[in-house]
Amino acid sequence: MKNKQTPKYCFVLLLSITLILATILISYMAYRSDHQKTEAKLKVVTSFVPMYTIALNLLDGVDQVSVTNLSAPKTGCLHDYEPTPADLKTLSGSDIFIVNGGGMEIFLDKAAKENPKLTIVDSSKGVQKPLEENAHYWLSVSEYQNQMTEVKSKLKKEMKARGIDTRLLEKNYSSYCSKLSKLKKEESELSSNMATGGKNAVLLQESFAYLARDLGVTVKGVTDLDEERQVSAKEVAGMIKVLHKGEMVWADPVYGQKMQKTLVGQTGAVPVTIDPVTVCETVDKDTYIERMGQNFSTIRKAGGM
Amino acid sequence: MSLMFNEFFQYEFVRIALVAILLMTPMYGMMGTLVVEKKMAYFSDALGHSALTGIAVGVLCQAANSNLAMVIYAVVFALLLNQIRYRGKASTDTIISVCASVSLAAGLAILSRGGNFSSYSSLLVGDVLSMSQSDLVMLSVLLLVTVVFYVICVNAALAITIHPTLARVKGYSVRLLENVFAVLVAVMVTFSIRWIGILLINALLILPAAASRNIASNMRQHLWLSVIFSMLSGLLGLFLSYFVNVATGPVIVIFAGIIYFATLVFSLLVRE
Repeated sequence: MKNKQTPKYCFVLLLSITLILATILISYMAYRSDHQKTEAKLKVVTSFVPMYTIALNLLDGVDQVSVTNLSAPKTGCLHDYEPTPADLKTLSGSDIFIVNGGGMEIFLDKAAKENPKLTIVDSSKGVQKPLEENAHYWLSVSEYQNQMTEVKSKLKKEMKARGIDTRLLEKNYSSYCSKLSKLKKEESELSSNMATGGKNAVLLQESFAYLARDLGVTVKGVTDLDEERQVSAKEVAGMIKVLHKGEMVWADPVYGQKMQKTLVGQTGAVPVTIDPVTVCETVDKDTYIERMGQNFSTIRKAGGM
Repeated sequence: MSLMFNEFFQYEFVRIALVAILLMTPMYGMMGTLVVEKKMAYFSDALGHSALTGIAVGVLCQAANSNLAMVIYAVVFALLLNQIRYRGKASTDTIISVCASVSLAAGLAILSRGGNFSSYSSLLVGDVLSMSQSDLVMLSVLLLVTVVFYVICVNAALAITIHPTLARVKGYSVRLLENVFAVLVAVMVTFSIRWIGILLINALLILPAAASRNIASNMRQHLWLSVIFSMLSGLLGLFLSYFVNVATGPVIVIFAGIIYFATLVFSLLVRE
């Protein structure tokens, strides 16, 4: 009996040891590749794409500073976002967390409580004309610039405290400001054209309210479509009632497309797809400028300007 | 290398998950052996799916403690299923399939009200890293109950499996025991659903026990090997999933799957 059992026990032991060693080896390889990237004196984490573009621009080329975006760039808006274990790990190893603020990061309190050493930079403190209960400030180019200014001043303070040279930060700031000024010029040209056209729109995302405000577009109705919401027939009927031929329906590329098609089909309105600059496959420092520029040209084309 | 282990153990959510796995996996290993012996894999799968309806009932009643609603539902469902099995004319798998489908449909209908189903989609995969300390207390109690049940009832349960009539003659209360067993499996599955996920919960119950069945030559071996395999897959799954950044539940099940196939190959080779 004993002889019969021995190979079995050896097999179980061998299988266990093999699995344990393989797991440790794979984990170690993953751990090494994770840690090679983070040999910086100041580790900056951002909460989502617009904040990431701000940090990438401000800290471009600055030595001893690393910039990571917390949620994967595919996450989109932060309303229902809960950080993954990897995000919690990144946060706990970081020094500065740049957030949009205004209640957008619902996990902020938890993150602050779990990481008492983490400095949170709330960019919404720089916002000058916020809309009521709407924290999508970055879709207004001027508010985005205000957010950037706020982040810059806080970063400067933190970098000085750690003895890091801030001259490049200042230089990067002015160069990004001038890029944003060009974008604002484009916006004001479009805005004056819109004024003569007298454009009205229905927005299928509440975030677009900032863009509409800056462009002087009259908003005839707002509904917020996201992954968790389906509108009722009554709501659709309400939008069809206020929309007229030639007016615009602003929708985002992911959630609003079907509703936009319905509204356009029923009313003869013009479909306009606006990029909320939150869902991006790859993000670099010009992502914001490019996407917003694209939004302006889409609106221009839709208005026949 | 030690830095890697330090990093792993430094977070509270990982430590809690680790303790949870140490409590949860022996429980699954133990009950799994009985589920496999009694050929009830499909029954426990149906219970897992019905847990979704339990959550829906909790939402519908706006119960302050949705756990309670879930457990009550699972217990009622398990008892009802047993009752229909005894009384019904159709074969057991047909009855289980009918009950599970109806229950799942009701759950989906309730949860998808107002287009909100996606907020419950996390239940499909589960998240073992979201556990709290109060969950650990609950798991400890459940483990204790499972061990007590196993020690007291294992002989009776096996006797019933092998020959129900003979067991009855020997004085075992067959109906009562089957019902207690079904309720225990239901409670266990329901509690763990948030952490392991509806899609994978049954795999965790069945795979280690099935792997152990491949090579065990008696019931005692079956039990110990099942517990060892279950704990090994749980611990390795948590460790690896942390570093490679994927959901923990699926990795645990993959490990259990690897062990199953390894034991299968071993049993085939040794037999020949």
